[in-house]
Amino acid sequence: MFRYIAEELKLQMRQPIFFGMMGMYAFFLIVPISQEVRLALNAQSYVDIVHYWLVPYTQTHSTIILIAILNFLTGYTVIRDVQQGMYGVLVTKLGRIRYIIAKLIIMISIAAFVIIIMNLVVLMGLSQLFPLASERMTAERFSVYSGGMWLYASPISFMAWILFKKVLEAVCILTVSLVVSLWAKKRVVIMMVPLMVFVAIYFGQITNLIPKSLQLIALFSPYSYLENRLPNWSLFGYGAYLVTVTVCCLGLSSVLIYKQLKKEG
Amino acid sequence: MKQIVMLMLIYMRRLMTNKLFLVLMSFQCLYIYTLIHPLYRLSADYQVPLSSNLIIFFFRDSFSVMVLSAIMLVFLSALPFRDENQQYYVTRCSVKQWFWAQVGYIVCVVLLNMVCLLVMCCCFTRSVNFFDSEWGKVIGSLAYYPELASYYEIEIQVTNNVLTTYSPFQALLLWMMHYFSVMCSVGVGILCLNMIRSGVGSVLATSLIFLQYTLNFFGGYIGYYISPLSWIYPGNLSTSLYDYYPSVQGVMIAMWLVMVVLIGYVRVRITDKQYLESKEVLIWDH
Repeated sequence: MFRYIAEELKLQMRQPIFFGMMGMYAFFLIVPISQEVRLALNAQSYVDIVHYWLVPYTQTHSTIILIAILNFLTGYTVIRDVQQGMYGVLVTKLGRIRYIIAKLIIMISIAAFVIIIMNLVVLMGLSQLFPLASERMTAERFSVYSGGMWLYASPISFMAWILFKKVLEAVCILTVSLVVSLWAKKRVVIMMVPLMVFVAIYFGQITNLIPKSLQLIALFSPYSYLENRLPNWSLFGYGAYLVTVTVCCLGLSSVLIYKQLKKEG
Repeated sequence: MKQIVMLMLIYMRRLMTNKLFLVLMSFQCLYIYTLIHPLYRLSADYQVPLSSNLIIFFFRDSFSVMVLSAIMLVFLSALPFRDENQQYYVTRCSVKQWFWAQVGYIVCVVLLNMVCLLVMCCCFTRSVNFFDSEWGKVIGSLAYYPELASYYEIEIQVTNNVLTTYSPFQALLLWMMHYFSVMCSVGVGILCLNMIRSGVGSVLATSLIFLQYTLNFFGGYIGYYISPLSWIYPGNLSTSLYDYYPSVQGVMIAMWLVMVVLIGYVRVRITDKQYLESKEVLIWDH
């Protein structure tokens, strides 16, 4: 299984579309940041890297677009195997359960790789222009974003925490896309899944149909503590809760994928 | 002509009986409801009725344009229809009629979606006042007190230039004309470019959607002129003669010209059977 994962990852990462999507990801990270930088330059108020870097993640729409771009790389993988006839060969070799686990690991790896690498590139670019963090601003901002949890922490560990949350959020939504792909089968529809998930979550959020602790987008946003979505847990408790939500998403989707693949034969 | 209409009906029936159509329509419905829902609180607090004219402002926000256009794109994504039945249709009718039936399908789908949007808006706002001479208190308040929108978390963006330039009915007509023109040209673009080279049309449509979203971060009229999807909202094009930007009429004429050129080009090439076979658009025995 691990050899298959390594081979598949190598194959995916060599394709031109992978680099194209990485470029697009960086572009949609930079665009909101550049707007903020422009506004700051006009007002002659220079802030630090943490401030600018957080801009795309505080905007729900930007987050959805970034996940939609990742979906171009991961959403079509299972159904492509089914349509190209590779699925039968792989299931004979690996078994159905291992095949599904391998596909989920591939999806998580690609999402984590693109998110981390592209954010590092953007951070390196920003570091040429602005200081990492100014002490007073950082303390104030960290307490706003995290309910005091990160008040005296280093900016780097705070940024790592946000990246960790963003990877988990992407995994949750990309998993839904993987499940939907087995029913929809059309590439255009699969590409739209993050947008539709957003619409559904937003609807649930507005009408209070989804409980506060399960409102994915708000839960993974940097402001989640501010909106009192969870009890005042420790950092570890909060992290563990987010991981549990993601694992539940993965588990549920594995069952659905398994059932649908069994029908496919 | 009869055969074109019959083919169009076959395509429309195919769309309507598809489960995906219902799913996407329900998502569209959910999205419109989520846009209108925060206004209920505003309406209750100030005891003012909602107005169905709000539909015009749905297309001001880039993310709304993105969601609503993406749904439209899925309805058009099957163009040109290329399943095993097409060979039979082309043999029964002709290449020309097969092509025009698909153009007719685009027109019908765009009109259908436009009517659905209007009906949804009327149902959720519980009003039909398109013919009123006034915009209503809710729209007026949102335009002149933008802090209301942030207080009530309203996503709909109302701009002054539309309110001061057009009456509600004029703006509705303009919106309908723009929506129809833009979506038809995107549909014709998908159809014709996919015929010239498979997949190019869908790439173009996706690029247009992302371009529209990107422009959200850059202010000013000039950005909106680059993106055809932003032309749906009448206020994105300049309403004043004094800033020397192209007029609304000029932009619309340019778009219709592009559409006619694309249709003309494909109509000329489509008679060449060898060309189509080489492009793997459709192989038939005609």
